Amino acid sequence: MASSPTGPADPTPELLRRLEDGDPAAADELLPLVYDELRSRAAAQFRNQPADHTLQPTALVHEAFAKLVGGAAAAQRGPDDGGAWTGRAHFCAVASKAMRQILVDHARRRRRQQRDRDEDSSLTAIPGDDTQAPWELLALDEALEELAARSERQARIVELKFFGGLENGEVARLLGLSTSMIEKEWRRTRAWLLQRLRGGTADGD
Amino acid sequence: MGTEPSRHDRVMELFDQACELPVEEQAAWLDRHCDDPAMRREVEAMLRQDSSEDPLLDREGHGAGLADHAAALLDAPTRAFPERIGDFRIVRKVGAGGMGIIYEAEQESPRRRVAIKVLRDEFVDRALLERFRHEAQALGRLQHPGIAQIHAAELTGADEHRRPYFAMEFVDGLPIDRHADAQGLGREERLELVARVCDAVHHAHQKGVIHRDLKPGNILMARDATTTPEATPAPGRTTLRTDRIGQPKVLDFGIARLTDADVRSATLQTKAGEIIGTLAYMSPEQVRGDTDIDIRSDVYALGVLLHKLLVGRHPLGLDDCPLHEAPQRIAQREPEALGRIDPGLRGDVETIVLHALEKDREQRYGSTAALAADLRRHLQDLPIEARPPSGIEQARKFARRNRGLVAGLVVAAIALLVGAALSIAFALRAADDRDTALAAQSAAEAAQANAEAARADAERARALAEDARRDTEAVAEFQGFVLGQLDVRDIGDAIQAALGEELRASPAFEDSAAGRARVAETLETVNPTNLARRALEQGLLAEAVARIDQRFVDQPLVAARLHISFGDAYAALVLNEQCLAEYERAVELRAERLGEDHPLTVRARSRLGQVLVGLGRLDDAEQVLLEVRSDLEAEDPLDVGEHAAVLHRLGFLFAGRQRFDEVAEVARAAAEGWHRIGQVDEECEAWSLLGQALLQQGEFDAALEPVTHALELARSQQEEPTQQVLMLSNNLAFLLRRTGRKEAGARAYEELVPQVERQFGDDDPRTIRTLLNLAIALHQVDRREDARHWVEEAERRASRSLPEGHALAKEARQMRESFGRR
Repeated sequence: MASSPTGPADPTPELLRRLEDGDPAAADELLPLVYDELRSRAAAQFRNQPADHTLQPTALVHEAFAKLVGGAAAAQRGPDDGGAWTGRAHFCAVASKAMRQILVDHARRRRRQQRDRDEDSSLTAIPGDDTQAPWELLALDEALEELAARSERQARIVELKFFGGLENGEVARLLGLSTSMIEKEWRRTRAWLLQRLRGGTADGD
Repeated sequence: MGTEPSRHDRVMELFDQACELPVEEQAAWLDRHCDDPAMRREVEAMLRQDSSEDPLLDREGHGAGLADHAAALLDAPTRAFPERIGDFRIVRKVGAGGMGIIYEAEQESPRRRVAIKVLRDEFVDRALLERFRHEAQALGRLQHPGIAQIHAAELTGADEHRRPYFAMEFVDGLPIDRHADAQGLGREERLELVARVCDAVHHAHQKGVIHRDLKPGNILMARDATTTPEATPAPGRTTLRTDRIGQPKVLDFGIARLTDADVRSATLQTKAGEIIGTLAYMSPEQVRGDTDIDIRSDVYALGVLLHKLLVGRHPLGLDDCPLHEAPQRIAQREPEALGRIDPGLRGDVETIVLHALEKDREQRYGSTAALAADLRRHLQDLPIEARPPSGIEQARKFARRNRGLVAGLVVAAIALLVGAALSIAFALRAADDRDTALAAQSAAEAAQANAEAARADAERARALAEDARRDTEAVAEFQGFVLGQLDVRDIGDAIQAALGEELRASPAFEDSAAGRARVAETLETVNPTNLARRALEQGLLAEAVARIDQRFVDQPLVAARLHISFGDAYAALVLNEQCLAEYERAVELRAERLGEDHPLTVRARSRLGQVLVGLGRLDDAEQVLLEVRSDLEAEDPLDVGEHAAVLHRLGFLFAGRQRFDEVAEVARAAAEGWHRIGQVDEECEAWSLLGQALLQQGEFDAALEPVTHALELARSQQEEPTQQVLMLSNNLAFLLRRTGRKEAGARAYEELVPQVERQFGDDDPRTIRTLLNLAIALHQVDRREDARHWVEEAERRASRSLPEGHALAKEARQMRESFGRR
């Protein structure tokens, strides 16, 4: 994570443009920026909130986008503006990866701390709105790894929707699929993930 | 991770299709489409999650901007539906039927509400597609107020996912049975209601369409049913308050076939043995997989419906019967007579229902119109046309139902056994106790007399049955049933109890407390199971067996079936030699009459092979079982269990011969077979066998799954851990440790210890062995303190309870020392 965040002469818009033009290296360059920005925002949230706060990835991503790309530029363009849309979508695709990484790091740290304190209370879950999530974020991360080995596409869809906050139509356009295909894939993937997260496997460990 | 993508894809496909089905149909569907148990478990787990909620994955979004989109993010898609299909605007998803998803939709011109039924999925097979086209064609011809009208049959969209759909009249209402209850309809109103269904179905029959899947879910009562049927045919209009009854609408001629000379329909027979529709309403000929189903199958279904509407339960008790038993019940069990449940239904109504439910369709009403006509005749107090079964018919049915016969024979059997048991008791008795002897003798004589009488009864009943020529097969069936009822242990216990009763009741007996004690003691020394086994062999089976061939000389197939039944009885008594003789004879008769490859012959050979294993004739057994294995039609639902049994037996045979690689192959297939028919005990055994075989071969990774699975099943069967559970748990712990899952292995041993202690006691060598295993496991995961604790504990127990120098004590000492060193 080499780059430091964001001066006024921010490289992000340029990177986004290159991303839209299909330059894959742009995503690699963008990722650390987004990661750093998101992480500092997440950290701020964690500091300012009571221990069991709810982390809102989509809100974070939104704010990061506004900051990195520039609120004015984003606001000027309407939702039907293709340029604005693809810019944001590409940004979100990158951000969703970053978001996942941040949350997983966070969960790992929490778990370590918890262990150090030798407490047996609930670990690592990002707390849900007010109910305890029945599964843990790290488990989701592992399940996603496993899923990616079976279907890259399904894992990607989860990342975009869950961590990036994209809706089906956006995911569909980004992946070049029909919305109904995404809906279908999501239903499958959701069920598969939940059985893996809640059911455990037959393999003992 | 190594899972190849195709397996995952297959799981997804199975899920896609199954999740559109009603929950109660999913299992049956998976039975037909997925025979890989691991895959099936995965799909089933997914299906369970599909309907559950998850606070995180299904969370609504927060905040503004991007977060707004999140609102629609995770939950909504599972309920998604297309906005439009053809000319129709989709309002909501109503449900999913056997073949498709059903939406409520609106049509703009003419403006009306319709139900849209879309064929389930784009990768649906061609047969289903054909069937759908047929349905469209057939339904298009139907116009009746009692049949949901079809408005259009088209293909969706223009993209690559074109799917056929119907638009049909939207019927908003309750299924017929719930409607009748909700309206509080009386008996006569219910009869008229069914008569109206008959009218509608008759209309379809006249257009050459058979429904084949009539059941309450397919017969709805329109909510606004106050406008009653001008169009209901006039005959039999009664003075009933018809407005309350309502107009039934028959939906979903989902598996309708054309009965006319449409050429294509001839090429479209339902696959042999495929069970379509709902079993409970299926006629015997449908269950048999007959290909020439006609309108009388619908008559049968309406008979079932009538019965259910009148007394609230299924005439053959299929409401709560295991699925694999249902076909046999439908084929053989006589319907419960309505009059027996509700005396008010004796007479006409009972006769009408039984007539509709005849097993042999030739005996049924020839049409639903005839059924409706009789219902209305009854409502108008006119004589009905159906005749109650005649005297002969009743005798025939009596024999077939064989309740009396069963009672007679069981009494005879018990009486014989009591007599036999007494004479054995006598032989064992101390001769000087005269009082007791007298008492016992009189009891024996009484029992003998009972036996004679009961045997005479049974003989009469049997004669009756045999006179009915057409029912000889049923008699054979029954014999099998009686013999199948004989549980040697139970009978043995019954004999002991009966003896005690007889003796206590004897006046001579009262006087002698010493004699009583004596006899009680004597009886204690008798092994009741052996007693029963011997008595049955000599007193009942041998004699009967000897007469089979001569009595059924003209009916070799009946004789063959009886030989099988008696063979089964011998097998249950572990009289393998006698059993073998019966099976051999059955094979011989069937092969002669039907040919070597006929399924019935193959089934008999299958039993023959199985008993050969029991006799230790392993070479012969292997040869027979391998032949049978290739001859059995594994896909035939009737043969799934047989096939599994053959494979399972082969597994034992191979295991006995240390051919573990072959065990692995058959044991897995056996387990899967048992799973399909819900034989949990057997399935557990088969997985366990597979696990053992893999373990023996050192394939620890592969052994994990079957052992885990067997353990789950064994635990699900019994609250208290059995020895089998402990053995499996131990294997599992070992496997976990040996496959690098050391933490889990250690945990498993930790859990195992208290169970083993409970089962065997603290100081049992098996318990001590388990402690040592635990210590090793703990040592390997660096829990040195704990490891030392347990090894010391093991050593202490060994030294206090095992003889000096016992191997376990030595092992414990050495282990402790080596732990100490490191």
